[in-house]
Amino acid sequence: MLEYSNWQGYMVSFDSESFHIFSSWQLQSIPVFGPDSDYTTLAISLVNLMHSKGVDIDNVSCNQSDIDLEVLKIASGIEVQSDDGGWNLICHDDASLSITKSLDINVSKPDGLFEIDPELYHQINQAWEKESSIENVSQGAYISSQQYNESLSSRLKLLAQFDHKTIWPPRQLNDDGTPINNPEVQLNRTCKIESWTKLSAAGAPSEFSIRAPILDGISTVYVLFEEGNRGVFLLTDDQNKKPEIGLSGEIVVRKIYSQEGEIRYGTKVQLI
Amino acid sequence: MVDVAIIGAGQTKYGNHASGLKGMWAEAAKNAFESVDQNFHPNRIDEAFIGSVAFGGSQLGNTAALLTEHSAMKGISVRRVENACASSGFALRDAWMAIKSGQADVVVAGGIEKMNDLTPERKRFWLGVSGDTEWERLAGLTFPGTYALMARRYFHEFDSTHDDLVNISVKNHMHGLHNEFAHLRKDVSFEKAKNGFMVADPLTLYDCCPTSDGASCVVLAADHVVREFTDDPLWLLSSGAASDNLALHDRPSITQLMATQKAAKTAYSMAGLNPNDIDLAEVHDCFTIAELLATEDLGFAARGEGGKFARQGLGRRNEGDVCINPSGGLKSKGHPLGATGTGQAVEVFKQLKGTVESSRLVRDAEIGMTHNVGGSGATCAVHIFGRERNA
Repeated sequence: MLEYSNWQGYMVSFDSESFHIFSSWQLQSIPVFGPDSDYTTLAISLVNLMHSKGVDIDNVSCNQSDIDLEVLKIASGIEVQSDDGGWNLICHDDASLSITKSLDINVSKPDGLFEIDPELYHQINQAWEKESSIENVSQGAYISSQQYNESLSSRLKLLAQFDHKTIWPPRQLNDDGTPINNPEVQLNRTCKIESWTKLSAAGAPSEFSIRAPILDGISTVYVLFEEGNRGVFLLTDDQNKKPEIGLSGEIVVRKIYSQEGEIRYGTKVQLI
Repeated sequence: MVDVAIIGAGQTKYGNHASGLKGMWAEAAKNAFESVDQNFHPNRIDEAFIGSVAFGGSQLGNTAALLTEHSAMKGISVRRVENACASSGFALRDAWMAIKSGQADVVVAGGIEKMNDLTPERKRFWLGVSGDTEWERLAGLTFPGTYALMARRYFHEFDSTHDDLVNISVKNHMHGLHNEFAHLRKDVSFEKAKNGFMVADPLTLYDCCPTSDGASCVVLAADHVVREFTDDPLWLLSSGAASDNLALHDRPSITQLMATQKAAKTAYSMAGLNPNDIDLAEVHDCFTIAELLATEDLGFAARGEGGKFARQGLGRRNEGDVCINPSGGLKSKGHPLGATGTGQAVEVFKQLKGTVESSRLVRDAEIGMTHNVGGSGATCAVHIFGRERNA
């Protein structure tokens, strides 16, 4: 019987040769994705767990079409190959996946998953489907795919520059007009909330206009990292939690919104 | 160095307009020309700077050429000035600099925005283009959210609550009630403002300015030609401007606007004045917290005392040392983005010349100020005006 623990808003278990991750939500006892999770966010989180446990993993076999391999590579640094006889990434039928040495696995569902409201689950899935349609042209502030990708590594990996002090998000020239080195310093993923707000559905940006009414608005926090840098992030899985100044949070990778058929992944804050 | 005077100023009513860009601009320009005391013909204008975010569904490129073509300024050197909500504050600064440099004698500064001809979806697009797109926008922030973060942090750091913002809202609605050019002319009670619909916690509907159509126009003249047009000019004593990091998270503090502080310091220094000399100030209250911060950043209240300033009603007309937003501010008068900066100058012009409605005249006012902010403080222009050439 595997023992599960919380990790970046998910449930995880592991031994030396297998790592498993589940969404924290279930519907009629079957694990399902929460409002802003999918196989890609689960995979990124599980690789982060493996790295935190000192597992030497720099590539993985994966034949799944449900994962954005480019985003996984940028966020976690691992290369995805078709079959190299090492680690295998396997998406299960429910909202869970495993990274294992063996293809022969038997995983039991963790206890304590939150029961998601069936109506909310149905509406959110419909909303994502509508939003992800290539025909859905957001009236939001347009960010091209190129602009989005330019900052993706700093966004997903929290990579910062160093120029006498830690700089994040990245900048071009320093105060002397000299180009700053490429981002290579990873910020600590824990942060402290310095301010927050919840935008009503009517006030939410257009990119979120399909999902915001279902979620009763969207919450944003302004946080301080341990390194002294600050950032603004959406909250994730905050349906039953209210932010407060001084509370700690953890930066996790989640879906932000979808535009022109492309899901835009980013970082959100999970309240600790 | 050439001194600069304001010889005329006019605007449209702010609100929902049936007419488009050309009609609104022509009305504002005509009102400005007619406000000049004597002998003004638009063929005297050398240059024009027109602020606009180009919000509505109309002419985006070459906006200024189109507008001046339709307002008797055909053929002069013109350009659109864009600095978000501070567009025409910077247009005014550009006009002032053009005269100061000796390159022009008579210059028009103005602004225009058509905001209510769009579907709600398209309106949301334009309302989001001036904040930090790469990071803040992807964190779900629009300006109500950005200013809400500032407000909550301010309440945490200082002795202040949302009630202080409610007082600002009530005051500005009271000031705008008798302003014939104001968008929202209605008295709002403390209880109503306090319990408004929550837009971005802790900011309610009554903390937020409306989206308005409108245009404003100011005519400036060099000291050596000013007597051709008036014996009673209003002097533009100084202009200060600055910028700051676009995104909140790149600033050392979100409870003060460094661009405002820097622009104000320049403007005070150039005019040889200090905050105690200002009789009335049109400040950029796109949200009530913005006015609270401005009273501190402009020096009317000490750091952390802006809430107390509002609570004690020190900015109310003819009650304190300085009247804050006698027009009703953006909250009541309205906020047609590109028109707001020069619209503030129109109010100061009329107040100091004594031509506003008598019921809302700031008594014995000699010195006025305008404070125009772009976005959440990325840009700011501050101007000081005086009845006397040398204050």
